[in-house]
Amino acid sequence: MIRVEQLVKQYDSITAVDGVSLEVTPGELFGFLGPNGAGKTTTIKVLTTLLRPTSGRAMVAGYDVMKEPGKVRSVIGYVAQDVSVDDKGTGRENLMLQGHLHHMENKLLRQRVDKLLELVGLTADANRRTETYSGGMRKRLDLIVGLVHQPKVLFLDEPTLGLDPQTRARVWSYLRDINQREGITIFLTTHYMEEADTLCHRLAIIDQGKIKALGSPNELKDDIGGDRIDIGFSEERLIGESVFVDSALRVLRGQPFIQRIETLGDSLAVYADRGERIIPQIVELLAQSGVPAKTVTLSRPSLNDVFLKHTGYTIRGGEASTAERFRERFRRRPKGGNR
Amino acid sequence: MNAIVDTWYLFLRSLRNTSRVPMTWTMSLIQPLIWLLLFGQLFRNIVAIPGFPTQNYLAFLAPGVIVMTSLFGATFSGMGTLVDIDLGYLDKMLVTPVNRNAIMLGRIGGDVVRVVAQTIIIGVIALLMGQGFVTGLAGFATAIAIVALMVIGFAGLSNIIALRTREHQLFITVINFFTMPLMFLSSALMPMQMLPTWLQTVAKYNPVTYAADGIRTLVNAGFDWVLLGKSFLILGALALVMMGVATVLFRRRLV
Repeated sequence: MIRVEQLVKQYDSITAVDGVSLEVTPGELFGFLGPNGAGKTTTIKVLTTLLRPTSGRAMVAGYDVMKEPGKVRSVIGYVAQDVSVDDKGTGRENLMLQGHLHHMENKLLRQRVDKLLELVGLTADANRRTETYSGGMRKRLDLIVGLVHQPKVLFLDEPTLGLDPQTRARVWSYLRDINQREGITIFLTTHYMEEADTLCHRLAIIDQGKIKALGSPNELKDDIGGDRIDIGFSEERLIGESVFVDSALRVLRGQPFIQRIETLGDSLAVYADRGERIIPQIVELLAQSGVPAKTVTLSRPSLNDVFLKHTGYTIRGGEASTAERFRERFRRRPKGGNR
Repeated sequence: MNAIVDTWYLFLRSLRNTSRVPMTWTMSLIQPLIWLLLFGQLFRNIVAIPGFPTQNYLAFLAPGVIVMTSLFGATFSGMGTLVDIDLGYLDKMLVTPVNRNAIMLGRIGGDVVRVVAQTIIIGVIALLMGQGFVTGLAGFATAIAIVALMVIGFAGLSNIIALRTREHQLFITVINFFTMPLMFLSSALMPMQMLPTWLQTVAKYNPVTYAADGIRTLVNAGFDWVLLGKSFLILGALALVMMGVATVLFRRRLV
C-alpha cells in the first residue's frame, strides 16, 4: 500500500530524512517510532504530497507521490500533529467541507458524516461550533475529518500527543476500529513506546533520518534476546547457599530450550525465547525433581530496551537533544510563524 | 468544473466565518459612519478653497471613504492565508484533491463580497446624509464593479506579501507601509489639481486614483465613459496581474 525507496529530504545543510526505505502492506497498522526531529513528520509530509523529496521514490496506493499527487490525495487521509479544525464552523460543517473538497456525492457524504460522528460520539455536538469543543472533542473531530472520503490509507502524525490517558485510550480504540472494520491502512508516527507497542502491527524505529530497525513489536523484542523467567524458591539454606537453587540449577542446566541461566541468591533468572511456552515445562521439571518453585515471573524485553539498543539512548517524555531541537525548528522554518 | 465547485465551497466557508464574528459587522458599519460624520464635519470648510471640485464636502468625501474601505479591507486578505498556514488548515486543504487556485479564488471572492457589503452600507449612509449618486442605481452598481476590481487587485497583492513574508508581524508592517502611501498619494482624499506637481505625478501611477476618480464621477457628474473606461482598464489589469502572480506564487510555494 505504501512503498518508500531511498527517500532523502534535505533542508539546506540539514538532512531530515536520510535514505529511508520501507513497505507497508494493505490493512496494516504501521508505526514510525522516533524522537522529535528524527524525520517522522518530514516523511509523512512527503507521503501526503505536502513536501517534495530531494531524492528517492514514494508510492502510495500504487501512485507516485511526485508524478501523480492528485491521485494520491484522493485516496489518503491526513491528520496532522496539531489539531486544525475550522473554529467558526460546526463539527458537521467541518466534515461536510472536507467531503465537498473530495467531490463526494451529497447523499453519500451526509450518511458518511452521520456514521463518523456516531463512531466518535460527537453526534449530539455536531451542530455546535468547534470553538466550544473541548480539546479531546476537537481531536476526535480532527480524526474523522481525515476519514470522510473513505481513504485507503490514513496518515496520522503523533495522533495522541498531549492527550490525557483516557482520551488516548479512546483514540487507540477508534484507530483499531477504523483499521479492522473499514480495512483502512494506517501509517502513524509516535514517540510513545506504549502506543507503538500496543497499537502497531509493525513499526520502524527512526533516528536522525535513518531507519534503525523494522519489524513487529514482538520481533523487535525477540531480536534483542528472548524473555526472562525469574524463578524463586523458599529459603532452606545450607551454609549460605540455597539448596533448592542448587538442585534447580542442576535440573535445568543443559535443557535445549534455555539460552542462559543466572543465579541471583534465592532465585534463578532463566533466559529463553517464547517464555510463555516453556514456563509449564520448567515448572513440571522442577516439580518432578522435588524442587518446587515458589514464584515464577515472565518478563519481556520492552520496546524501550529495543530502542536503547538501536539508538544508544531512550526517549523520555518526548525530550530531544539540542541538535534535535534545532532540526525541529529548522523543519518548521519554511512554514513560518511561531507556534 | 471542479475548480468552480471548489471555489464555491471555499468561498462559502470564507463568508460563513466572517458572518459568525458579529464584531465584523458592527465594525464595518461603525467605521464608515465615523469617517463620513466626523471627517465630513472636520474638513467641511475645505470646499471654500478656490478650485475645489464639489460644492459640498460629503460629495467629495463619500467616494474617498468607499475607496479607503475597499483598500483596507482588501489588503488584509493575506492575513487569512497566514492564519490558515499557521493553524495547519491549509495543509488540511492541500492533502485533498481540491483545485489549488480555488483556495486563493475562494478567499478573495469572500473579500469582494465583504467589501461590497460595506460599500452598500456607505452608500446608504451617504444617501441618508443627503448625498446620493447623480447616476442613480445604475451608477451605484457601476461603482460596485469598480470596488470589486480594486479589491481583487489589492487582495491579490496582500496574498503575495503574505506568501513572501510568511510571518504575521512582518506582514502587518509591510501592509501598513503600502496602504497609507497608496491612500494619501492618490486623489482619494484630496482633489488631484490641489496636490503638488510631484505628487500629481505619483498619483497618476497609483491605481487607487482611478478607483476614486471613477466613483467620484458617478456620484457627482455622470457616466463619463472615457474616465470610467480608464478606471476599468487600469483596475482590471491590476486585478489580473496580482491574481496571476498570487496564484503562481501560491502554487510554487506549496507543491
